[in-house]
Amino acid sequence: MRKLAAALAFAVFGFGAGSASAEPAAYPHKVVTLVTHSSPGGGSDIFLREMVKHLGKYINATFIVENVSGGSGARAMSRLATSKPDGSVFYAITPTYIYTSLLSKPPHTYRDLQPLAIVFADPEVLYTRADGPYQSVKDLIDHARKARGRFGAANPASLERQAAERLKAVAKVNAAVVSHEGGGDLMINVLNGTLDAGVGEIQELRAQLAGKKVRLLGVFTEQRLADFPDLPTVKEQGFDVVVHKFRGLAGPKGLPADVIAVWEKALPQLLADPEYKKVYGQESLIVDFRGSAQATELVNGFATEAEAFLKEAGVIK
Amino acid sequence: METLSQVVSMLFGTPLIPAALIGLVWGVIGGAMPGLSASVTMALVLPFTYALDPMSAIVLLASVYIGAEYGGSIPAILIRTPGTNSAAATVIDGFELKKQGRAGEALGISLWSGVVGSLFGLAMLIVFTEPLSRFALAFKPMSYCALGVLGLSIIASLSGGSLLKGLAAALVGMMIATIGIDPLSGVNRFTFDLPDLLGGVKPIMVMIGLFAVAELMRQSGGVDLATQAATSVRIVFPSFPMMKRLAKPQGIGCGVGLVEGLLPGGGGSVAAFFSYNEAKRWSRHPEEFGKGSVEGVAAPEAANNTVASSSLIPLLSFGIPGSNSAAVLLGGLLIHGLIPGPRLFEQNGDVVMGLYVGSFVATLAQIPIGLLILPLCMWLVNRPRHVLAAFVFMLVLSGVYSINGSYLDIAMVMSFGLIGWLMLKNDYPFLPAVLGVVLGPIVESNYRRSLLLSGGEHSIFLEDPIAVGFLITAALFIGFSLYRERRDALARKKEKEVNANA
Amino acid sequence: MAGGAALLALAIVYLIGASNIPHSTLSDEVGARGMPYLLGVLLALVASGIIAKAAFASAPAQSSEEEDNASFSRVVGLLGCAALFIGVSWLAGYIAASAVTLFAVMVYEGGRPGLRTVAIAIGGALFFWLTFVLFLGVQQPVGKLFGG
Repeated sequence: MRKLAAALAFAVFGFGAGSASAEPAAYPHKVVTLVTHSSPGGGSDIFLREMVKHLGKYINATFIVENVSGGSGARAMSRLATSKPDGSVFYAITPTYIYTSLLSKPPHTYRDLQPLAIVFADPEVLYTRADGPYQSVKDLIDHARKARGRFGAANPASLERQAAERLKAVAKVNAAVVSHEGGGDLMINVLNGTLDAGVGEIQELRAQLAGKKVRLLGVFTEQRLADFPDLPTVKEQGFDVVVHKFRGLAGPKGLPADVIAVWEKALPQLLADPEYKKVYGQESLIVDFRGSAQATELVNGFATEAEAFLKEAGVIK
Repeated sequence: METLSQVVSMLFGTPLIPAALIGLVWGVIGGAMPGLSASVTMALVLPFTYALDPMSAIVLLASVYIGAEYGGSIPAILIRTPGTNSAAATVIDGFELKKQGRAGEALGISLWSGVVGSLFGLAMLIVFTEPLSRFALAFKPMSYCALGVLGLSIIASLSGGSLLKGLAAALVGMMIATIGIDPLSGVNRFTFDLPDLLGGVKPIMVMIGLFAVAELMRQSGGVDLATQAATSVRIVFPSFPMMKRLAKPQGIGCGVGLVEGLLPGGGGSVAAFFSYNEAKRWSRHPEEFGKGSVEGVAAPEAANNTVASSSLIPLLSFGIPGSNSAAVLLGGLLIHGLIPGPRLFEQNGDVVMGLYVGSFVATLAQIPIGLLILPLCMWLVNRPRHVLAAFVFMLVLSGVYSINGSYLDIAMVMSFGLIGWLMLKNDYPFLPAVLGVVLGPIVESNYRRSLLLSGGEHSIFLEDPIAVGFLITAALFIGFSLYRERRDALARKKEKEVNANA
Repeated sequence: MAGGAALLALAIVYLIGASNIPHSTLSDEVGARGMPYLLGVLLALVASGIIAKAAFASAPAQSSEEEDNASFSRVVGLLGCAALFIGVSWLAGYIAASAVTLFAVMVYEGGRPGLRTVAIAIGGALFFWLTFVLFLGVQQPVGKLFGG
């Protein structure tokens, strides 16, 4: 029934793609599989499914989302690394795949894959409870200078944790960085005042922002966010901490140049699509398009930094 | 009056009833498959909801949740395989009843208790969302740690005679739970560099191994003919006097389920064990527990179905899911652009209303759907023993593989089966081990979180009134169990002496 | 007695494993090793208690326990069936593996290896494929030889 319904949805979807006004670019494959390590409803899964809805207008192929969960991305990496590098299969990458490569010894790592493009950056923010005493990052750090600061991150050995640890190091304060089992857990401890502040993605905070339960203190990006123009970055408040949570696609190593060219042309068009814009605009995603060469550079740089962080902390040898 | 007409137009003017029914059936089937937890069953249906209108989508997901929590009890009773984590406590007395040829009665009780639990949870959701959500916020890491300790304190009474063996089983269970990424520092513990172990060993694998695989092994070669007793396929719905007897364990289950559902992390399995233990403590027939007690089925089943509704309270009021399944529902809400929180009730009041009505429909529909599905299930388990064994074995293999798509998981579950068989042979109780797997991480990570917050001062526990209350209760429980153990031992000794003198 | 000894051995192996957990500066007051050490030591104590109790109890544990437990060799056979499933599914995919495993377990559990059993095995395999792959749509093994 599931497969049947999926096939039906693709048939309908393919029809829609055919009737789009712009001519989609020719592509060497009829069906392209986009793999994600998140289960249905998870972050990357939603990212792919929203993208797939509009991608057919720009690339002449049918796109299927495949959930290969388990092993925190290790299984998805193996699925990719053992596929042919012909442009028929890609993997939705986030920093998770680098952390998994570094933290364990999976049979295939990020080094076995070739980044195709970076599409978005998810902004990471520092937030506190709305009725709490802190109005800025400075207030928070001042408090941590006097007493023991209490920061929270959703997961151990994650980008959020890295951001909190670096803030602590840059500000030279003694603070506890408490990691949790996911964002919900963390949120409760920020809301009930157990923690001074937490680091999280802006999408996870939408419910609390709408209900005015949390206050954003700063964002860990280079520039301010378009939909939060009044929110200063952590950097401009005097603490030089910038993290880059990327979202993009990668394929097996050795992707043909013509395939890369099609995607590098289609993705900017997709990002400019007004309907798609409406979708990702709601999510506060930052458009951060980079082609394959630049994406590879970014990913490698990220990995080097993360590895240094984890080694310095003694998490890995 | 306005509300009433709104409800009526919803029932007949929108696809709410079909959504509730489809969701319920899907949930019962998914929940009955070992390995497919309620959250996975919901996640599987999630992609379909993209195309539905928001209200039908949410009703569908909520109904799947209700169905799955109920469905998990079917294999628990019939083939000693908990379909979901939270059905593990139902296995104990449910399967005993089945062995006594009272499967129809056990299934009827679990169905009825599920309906009672769902109705209670739903009523709490509709009436007390606001005050209850504030209660959920009051829980700090110290409170969670103490809650875990309180849970572990019931090990003594679940050990069935041998406290040392019970403790050993619990410790091994907690050891299994330390596998994976350390929740605080992020270093690997006992993962042997295998990526499949990074996320740890799922409690359901331990449960399937210890309960289902060990049972298959024990019965191998046809030693046990008890399952062959010709049983009728009729479902026995509880009679009125029976309903009265079940009211107390169900009440306990509802209360425990309400609290656990409000708290992230606990979830249905903790609620089920807790209510099982409490039902035993307050029962007039505690001696029947573990030997086929109807109350031992009613309490956990009422509890896990209550959780299915009460975990929606923190979800709807501030977007914090009380269980994994509620997290999938959150995904469903977000996909349809619905942001949970106080404003959901103002801006999307119709969706919330639809959720209430749809859940109500699904709850009541459990009875006719259960009565339709159950005889089929009972017919299935009355097949010749070798056929049944083969199918249960295959069901376990398929279910376990589907969790992560990993052969390592199959190997692990088989090893747990072997351990379980050895435990059976040497009279080690299973329940403490399962409890250890579930509660170990809660105690450890929240203990460490608390000390991290205080900079190593244990006094932080005394500053949290909830933690103090739980710890005192835990101390009382342990003291009481030790006292009873001592008293029983003395009584046995005396009896022996009397017999020797006679 | 044997159980106690096995538990003691497990506790020691576990403690050795715990001492190999890396130390991290991201860690807290208790550390990643704290709980494992505690569990290991406690289990060692409990195991010693079990051994002591068995040694001091004059009469061996009552063997009045009804002997309805299968022998170890039978258990190994079942484990073999699981290994068979892994091997066949890796090679030839889910449906073939289900049929072979169903047949093997049925015969192992005393079914007659006739046509009827073969038919049930094949029918059962199709039933499992329908339920898990087609209806529920969850992942199941894909064979090296000819896929699904």
